[in-house]
Parts: sequence; C-alpha cells; structure tokens
Amino acid sequence: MANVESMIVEEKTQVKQIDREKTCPMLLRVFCSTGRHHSVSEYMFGNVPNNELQIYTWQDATLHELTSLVRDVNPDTRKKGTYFDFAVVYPNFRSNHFQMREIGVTCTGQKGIDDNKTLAQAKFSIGDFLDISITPPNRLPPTVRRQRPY
Amino acid sequence: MARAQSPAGEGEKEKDNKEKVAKEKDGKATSGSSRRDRERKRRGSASSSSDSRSSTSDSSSSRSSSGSSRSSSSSSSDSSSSSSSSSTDSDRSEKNRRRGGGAAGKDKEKDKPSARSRSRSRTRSPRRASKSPRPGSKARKEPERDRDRRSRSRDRARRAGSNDRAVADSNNVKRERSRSASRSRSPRRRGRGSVERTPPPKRRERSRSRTRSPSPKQVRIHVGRLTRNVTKDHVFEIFSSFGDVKNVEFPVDRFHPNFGRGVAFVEYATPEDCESAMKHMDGGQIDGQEITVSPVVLVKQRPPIRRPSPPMRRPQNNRWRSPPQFNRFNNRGGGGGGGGGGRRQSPMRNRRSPRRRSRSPIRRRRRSNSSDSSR
Repeated sequence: MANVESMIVEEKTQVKQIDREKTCPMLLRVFCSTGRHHSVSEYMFGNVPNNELQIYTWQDATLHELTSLVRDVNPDTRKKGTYFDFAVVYPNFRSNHFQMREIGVTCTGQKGIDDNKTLAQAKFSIGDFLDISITPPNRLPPTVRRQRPY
Repeated sequence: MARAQSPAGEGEKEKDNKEKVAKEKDGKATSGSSRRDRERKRRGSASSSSDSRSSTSDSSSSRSSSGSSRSSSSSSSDSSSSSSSSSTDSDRSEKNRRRGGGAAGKDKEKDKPSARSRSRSRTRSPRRASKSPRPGSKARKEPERDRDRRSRSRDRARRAGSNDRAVADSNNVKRERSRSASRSRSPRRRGRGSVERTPPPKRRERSRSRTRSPSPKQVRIHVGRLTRNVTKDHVFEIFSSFGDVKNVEFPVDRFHPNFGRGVAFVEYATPEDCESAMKHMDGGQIDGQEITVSPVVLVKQRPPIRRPSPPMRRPQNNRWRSPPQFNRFNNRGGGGGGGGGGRRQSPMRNRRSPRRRSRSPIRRRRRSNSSDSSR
C-alpha cells in the first residue's frame, strides 16, 4: 500500500496547455545539415555547429510548424519530398558530452505521423538544441541515414 | 535603459526584448502570492494587446524606465526617520501629490500638526475613508484600495492600537473616527473588484518583509528556474532594470561550464531595489519559463545541496537496485532533479527491507504514510 501511494506521487503528467498570448516564447537554437545529423561532438565545449538558426517559439510548436519555419529560411528545402529529421541535443549531466535523441520526421508536401508532434511531447526542455537533418528528395529517405564518418 | 541593452549579443537582443515584454506583463505585479495570481489573470488581457514582438519592445522599455524612476522618487521620499510606518506615510502623500487630488492636499495639511508618525498613519486612513465615498473620481478610490491591500497587516495593528490611539490623539481624531466608523466600510468593498492601477511599490513590500523577517536589509536574491539559454549577462541585464546590481553570482554546471545550473544570486546596492526586483520578477518569465525569485536565507546553503550527491551515489545504487528505478532517475533532467533524486532514493531502500522481514515495520510505515496523505 505504501508502494502504491508513492507511485501516485511519482506520476507527473505534464500535459500543460500553453497559451501563446500569455507565455513568452523561448529561444530554440536549430542546426540544420544536409543528409546527416551533426555529430554530438560538435556541440561540446561550448561550441555549436556554425549554421545556427534561432527560432522563437513555444513548447507546443509542432514539427510541421518548425518545418515550415525552416523552409522559409532555406529555399532549397522547399522541394516536395524533402525530409526533415528532427533530433534534440542536450547535455549529459554526468559527463561533458552531449546526447542526441531523434524525435520525428516530417516531409515537405506529404503528411506524416510526426507532423503534429509537439516539442513538449518530445520531452524537449527549454535550452536543448534542435538538430535537423535535411534530406533532399533525390536521395534516400532518412531511414537509411549515413552516419558521419569519423 | 540604454544601459540595460548594451551587454547583449546581437542574436540575443531580440530575445531580451521579448523577455522584457514578458517581464513588463509582470512588471505591474504586486507582492504577495494572491496578488500575483490576480496579476497573472490580468496579464492575459494585457499581453493580448502587447503580443507583437518588436513593436512593443520600445514601449515596454519606456514603461520600465518610468517604473524605475517612480521607485527612485518614492525611495527618495523615504525620509530619514527610521520607522517604516513614517516612510510609508510619506510615500502615500507623495502619491497623492502626484495624482493631484483635492482630497490629498487637504490630507497633507491635516497631517502636519500631528507630531508622531505612528499616529499619523493611523489617523489618516479613516479620514480618507470618510472622504472618499463622496466624489466618484477614480483618484480617490485608489487610496482606498491601497489601504485595503495593506490592511492585512495594518488592520491588526489598528485594531489592537485603537484604544491608546483614542487616548493619545486629541478629540478631533475621535470625531473623525466616529464619522468614519459607519462609512469607511462600504468603499472598501467597492474597491475590491475594480482594476488596480500601478500603486507605489515601496510600502507593500515593507509590510511584507516585516511579517516575514525582522531584518529588511536584504540585498541578495535567489533566482531559480532559469533555462540553459540564460547567461550571467542576461541575468545582470534583466535585473539591473530594478536598480544597481552590485554582483551576480551565477553557478555553472560542473560538466558544462557554458551552462548555468538554473540559479543565480543577484546582489543589489540597496534593499529597496532588491525588494522591487523580488516583487516584479517572481513568477515572471525569462525564455519562456517562469522563474522564481526569493530572498536568500543563507547564501551558501543552496548550491551544495543541488549537485554533488547524484554522481557519487549513482554507480553504487545501480548495482543494488532494479533497472526501472534507475531509469526514472535518469529521465529526470536538470540539476535540480538530480539532488531530489538522490534524496528520494533512500526511503525506497528502507521501504523495501522492512516489507521482506516482518509486518510490524510495515504497520508503522503505513501509519506515517496515511497521515502524510491526509495532510
């Protein structure tokens, strides 16, 4: 019984509605690269990849929304069939390394299951980086993503 | 406010502006948690008009500058007398002067003959209460409301001191009181529902700090729940809009020195600035996250609690414990979670062993748990 009670305390459902009128936007630092994700080592020691994109948005922004924002900035990603592979990069709190976690894929001109996934649903916490691998349509979809050669 | 904007990097400027917008929404926030709640509700309506990103930054910064000038003027009006009640008095009169209400002028004249500041502050409020219902202008309603806010602490004092006041003050005070006794209540009720316009900041914090701690000479505040995007410069910039920031202590993460631990300690030159920052920024938003601002009780107490324990314990616990616990521990991000996780584990260990052994410890455990849940 004691165990059950403690379990209830542990469960924290963070389904928090965000009112964009009341909540001030957060800074989302996005790093795009073509065909691959950045290596986590590029985020170490205070460095970041050089092609930074700063987006002011909210935790309830969907991947589709972010895709269209990136598309506005990068004209060459507007072709139909371009895949956007999203990953969050966050510091590992036990070492000076970073960790990368994929959160979803969207595609220009197509509907996908991850289109309506929000950052909050992806357990994004403010201050994390967003790494987007952009795959042009003539290449293979990002399921067969190339790892960066070391 | 040019000073506030200078240290920002190019990319961060936009952000800071937005932060300021958010801050300004809170800028009118009043002290005390209930008041803050009220303010939050109102913030919605305020922000709907000020939502657009760049256009409001100017107006907000100008607003904030006016706010700081107001606070400085009121602090200058704090006379040299040490008793805080007298300074609150001068504040009030200062406000009335600014408003230019006819009643305020009369108030001041009447106040002058009374020698003691204490008695002044007491006799005054009933007087104004008796006046305020007559003309319906807004300027006169406000003092009512202000007094209403304040009255939590002061009513008590008034009630308690009512007898000796009657003795100490001369008979004209009695006249005032008898007149006001019947009338003064109705405007109070009227004032409660209506929207408050920015009242002078000083006096309410005073009363709050008086109830919380006997020493109001606090110049350091603790800022919590900062995001990783926020740097020391940001904290300095944001908090220097409330007064002269002498020092910002910004503990950094052990493994990632570029990121903060989500806390900062801001030291002001004067306790007044410190309190105004506390009042304006507690519950305010920076980088899309609500921050906490609280007085520092013991300066060096907090940082050690947070970090060091988890990395030490984790490898040991991992051997003894089943994987799900480790996962739960692992999922919790942030420096704050780490310390909590380390602490939370020890009860688990205790809970497990008594269950295996016998029942009597369980009974004990249950009792304590149920009492906890009932609380």
